[in-house]
Amino acid sequence: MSELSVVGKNVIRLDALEKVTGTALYAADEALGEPGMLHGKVLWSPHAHARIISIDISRAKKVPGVEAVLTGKDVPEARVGSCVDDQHMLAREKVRFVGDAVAVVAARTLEAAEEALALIKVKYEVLPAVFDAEEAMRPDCPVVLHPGLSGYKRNMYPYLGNDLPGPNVHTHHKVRRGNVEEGFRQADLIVENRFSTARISHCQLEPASSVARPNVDGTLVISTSTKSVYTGVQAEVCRFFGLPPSKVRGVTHYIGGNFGSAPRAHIFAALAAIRTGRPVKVVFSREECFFRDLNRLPMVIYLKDGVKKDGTLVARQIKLICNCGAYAQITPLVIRNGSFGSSQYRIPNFRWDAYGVYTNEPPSGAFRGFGNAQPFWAMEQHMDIIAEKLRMDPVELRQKNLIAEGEENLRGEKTHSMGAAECLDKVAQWIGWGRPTSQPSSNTVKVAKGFALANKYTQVDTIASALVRFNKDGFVDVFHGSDEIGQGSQTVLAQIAAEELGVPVEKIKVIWGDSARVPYDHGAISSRTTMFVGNAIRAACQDVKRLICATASPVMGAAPEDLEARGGQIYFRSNPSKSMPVSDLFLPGRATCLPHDAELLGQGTFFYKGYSDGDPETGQGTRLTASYCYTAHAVEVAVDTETGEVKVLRFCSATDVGRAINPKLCEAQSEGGIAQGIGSALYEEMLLDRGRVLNCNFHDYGMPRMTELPGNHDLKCFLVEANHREGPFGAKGMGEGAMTPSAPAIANAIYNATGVRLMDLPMSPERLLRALKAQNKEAGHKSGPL
Amino acid sequence: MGCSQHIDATSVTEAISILQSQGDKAVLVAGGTDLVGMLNNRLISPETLVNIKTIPGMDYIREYSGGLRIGALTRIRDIETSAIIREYFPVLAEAAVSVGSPQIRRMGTLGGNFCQEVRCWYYRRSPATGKTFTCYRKGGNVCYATSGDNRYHSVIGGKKCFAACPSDMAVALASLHAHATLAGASGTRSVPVEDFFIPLGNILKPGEMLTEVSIPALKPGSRQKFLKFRHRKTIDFALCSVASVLEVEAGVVADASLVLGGVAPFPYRAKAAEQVLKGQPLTEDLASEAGAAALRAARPLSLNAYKVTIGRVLVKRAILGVDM
Repeated sequence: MSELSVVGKNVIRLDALEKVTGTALYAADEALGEPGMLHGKVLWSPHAHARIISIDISRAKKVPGVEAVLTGKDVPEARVGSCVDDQHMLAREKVRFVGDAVAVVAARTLEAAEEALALIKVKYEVLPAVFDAEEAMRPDCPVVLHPGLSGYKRNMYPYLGNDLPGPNVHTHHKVRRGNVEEGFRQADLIVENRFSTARISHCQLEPASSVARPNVDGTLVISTSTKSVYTGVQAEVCRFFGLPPSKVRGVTHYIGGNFGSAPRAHIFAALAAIRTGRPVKVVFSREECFFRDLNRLPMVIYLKDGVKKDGTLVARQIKLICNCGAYAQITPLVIRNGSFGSSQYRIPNFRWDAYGVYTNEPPSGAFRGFGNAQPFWAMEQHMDIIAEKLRMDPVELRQKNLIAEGEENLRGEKTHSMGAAECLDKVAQWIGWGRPTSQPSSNTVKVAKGFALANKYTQVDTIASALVRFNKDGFVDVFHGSDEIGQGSQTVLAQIAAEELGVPVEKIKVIWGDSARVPYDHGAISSRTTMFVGNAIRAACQDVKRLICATASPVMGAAPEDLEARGGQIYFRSNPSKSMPVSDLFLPGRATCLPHDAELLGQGTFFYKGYSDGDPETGQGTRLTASYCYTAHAVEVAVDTETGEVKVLRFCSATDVGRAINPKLCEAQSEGGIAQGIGSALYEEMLLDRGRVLNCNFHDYGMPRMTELPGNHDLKCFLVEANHREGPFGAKGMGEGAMTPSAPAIANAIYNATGVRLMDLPMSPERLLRALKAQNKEAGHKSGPL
Repeated sequence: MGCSQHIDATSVTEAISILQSQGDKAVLVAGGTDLVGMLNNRLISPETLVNIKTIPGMDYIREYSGGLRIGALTRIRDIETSAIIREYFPVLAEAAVSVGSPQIRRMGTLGGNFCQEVRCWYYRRSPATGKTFTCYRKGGNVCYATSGDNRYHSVIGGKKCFAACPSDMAVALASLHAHATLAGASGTRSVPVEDFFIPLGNILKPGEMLTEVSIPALKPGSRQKFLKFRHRKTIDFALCSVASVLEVEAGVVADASLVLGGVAPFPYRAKAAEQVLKGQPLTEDLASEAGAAALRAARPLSLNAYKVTIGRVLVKRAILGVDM
């Protein structure tokens, strides 16, 4: 391959100017002041579990300006959902969490909608509720959320509904490799612990916003903040309302962060728009985002590892109990795909049982890392526990067990593009592993380092298409269906097109965000845009180049294969000094060229032909993922042993991105991941009291602020480039892996500082003080007999 | 917000007369950094907002016979940057800089810092969440924190309401033995700062307003420290804070004033700890002993015993003049 001219460069974001000047449009900017537009508000259940006895909307309907008051009897009979159809759009017989949708009001003013909402009288019979997943999982749990579960339709991976141990369990995902009992018999050391993770919120800056407009031709146009204009808007609305795709058009603008949140304000807007025939806008408040965004799935993790004296892992057994909340949503897939992370080590005997459990808490869903950060919280602490017990260096222990390029991983996939070892080396070197800390410990403040290694796969079973239009002025329009959720994908995709066409990136215009105007894509999920859409765009560029050469062939008097289109010129391959500008193809009057103003269009589609679903009983397959992005984090912390305060002094990440199309944007993803990772480790937890989120605002919820993050020379993000043979220019997805190792890295550092191992998230001062107290007590007992 | 009237008051007398005639239908607004959130969450629904920013002459930091008078409309930022406060009452400057964020300190006033509402998440709960909690503070007959999540609530002095006093300024000012001046229709009265706060609010009577805080003269050379522990280093309110003012002569504590914040519904004067210190040589052991004494009265709820541990450490460190 010749030298790359645009790929690998820190091209300034295409959206930079719009965003810094405040002209960038977001979903909430839509329809401001639009005549006839209605405001939609949703009435949420105040109870965690209750039967609806009656709903009286008579007074609400009389409020001047109110156009519709809709309840459960106004929504389609069929239940809907992502993986399991377990939910009515508005509750019919029961509410199952504080925040379950009970009614929608559409009114000419927001004030009228709010007034009407307050006048809806709902009579409930409060039912006993269950909040703890382990309690809910018991076969004899007296609270059953979905007595009809066995009859519910499953849209995705129906095998996850097999072998359910209790009436509240909707998902059981299994992975089997070798024989763990045999593995544990061979082991010289067995380590076994229970870990847990907290329910955390995405806290994307933009609260959910949506406008649904019924068109006179019967089309429903839905403008919303989502990560996938096709799958997240069009396909979902079609399925929920029984509409054909041609009748639903999804539109997106810039999106103010996502991280996996799926609040679905557009479902309520669509419902009210269909019923009133008027445009309806629904904007969620921050409080509503907290219980509607589908937070990060809390897990209880029972981990048992068997290892030989020399550090060879021989067996790993994991049981995960996942508190999915009141509806399954996307959690069965989160649970299934959370298993991929464990394949970074060579483990001959492996057993994984993950259970998705209904409780009366707000439903969970996708969250940066998609189910992988939680098992890593346990697994990467175990690696340090094992290393210490075997008196091995924890870097060495990990290096020893890392799966190698070409090796079959514990899921049956052939390992490729494996940069984990280099990631580990890079962070260990930067943090100064094995060398003194940057500041000494005192009597009360202990300073130490820790690290962890993790990864995030990219989903394999999706598809992307792209269109490229080569214009006569040399500018190129690139059309695709993935959304800009702040990650900078439009810039990266423009770079890929510019590189392939040999034109400056300034000549690329990227068009996205409208299912009526751009080709299909699965969306900005699973760190897939660069690889899938990038490949589709690359193919479309190659297609248009072929067309250019074919069109130029008669003019230039050469066979198409003897011509090359590059940089807006068409060259003779045999003599590159002879060329013709592509724009000449548009010259009027040249009958052999394009007719006046005709277009040069290329198209491309990317998908994996040979992917496998995985065996339902063993989870084994040959191609379950598209790629793996490896991320190592190393951290230095100062722990105040008297107050329990943990300060992150230095932080380093190394991420194997395959190839960095835009290194600065990759580093920005890494930095954002570190911030979110520190939050998840030390501060963040949705606190619930009988199912109600108490800290559902940015004051009470513990997102880290700038003061909690290391900066300048204390923060370093390395990029490792283990080229992926199927990625565009070797690139693979990287955004989601960015926070997967943070929490265990910090936990390992806290242990190294204090000797206290925290197994529950977040590692708050309360928890740390309690653990330190227990440690002192134990030390007291040990010295007691003297 | 639904307020039907917004009046720019031009004098304390006018503001008081509006409060008197309208009762709880009128509320005062200065910086609004807390009040606007209260209005948005419908915790109060007044008919009249009385803007007191338009009252001239209530924004001052003035010396008087060695002490200081601070007008209720003085912004936190002005207290934080006042040369005289930094030099003679650094405990107050340290408390001021710990308040909120730069934006809040430039908007918020001393009076507002005293009169802000508690941060209890049951009390503050937004109606946007579907259901709010009618607790003692809202006229109900239950405190939801005592049986719920009380990790941020009081460990000392809770009665009916267990929310902690959110004011940092009051903690520092109480340690300086400051008094608050309250003006009403029948004249003014003066109360020690720590007595201004009570578990269900403050002692302001209907038709009264806070106009000034006065700090008495202080012997020169006192050792002052304000320490604040919170989850994050900015914006957050204190989980526990300590203001300490010590007079140390030849290594012996001649006088001590220790006040804790974040642990009680009011600035908590740790009298027992003050007694431990007085007349004793200042050592690390003595500071620890004072820390233990300061929290001896604590009766933690189910989830906030850690505040006692942290409080002891903070008292010790404040006495020793150690930073967090």
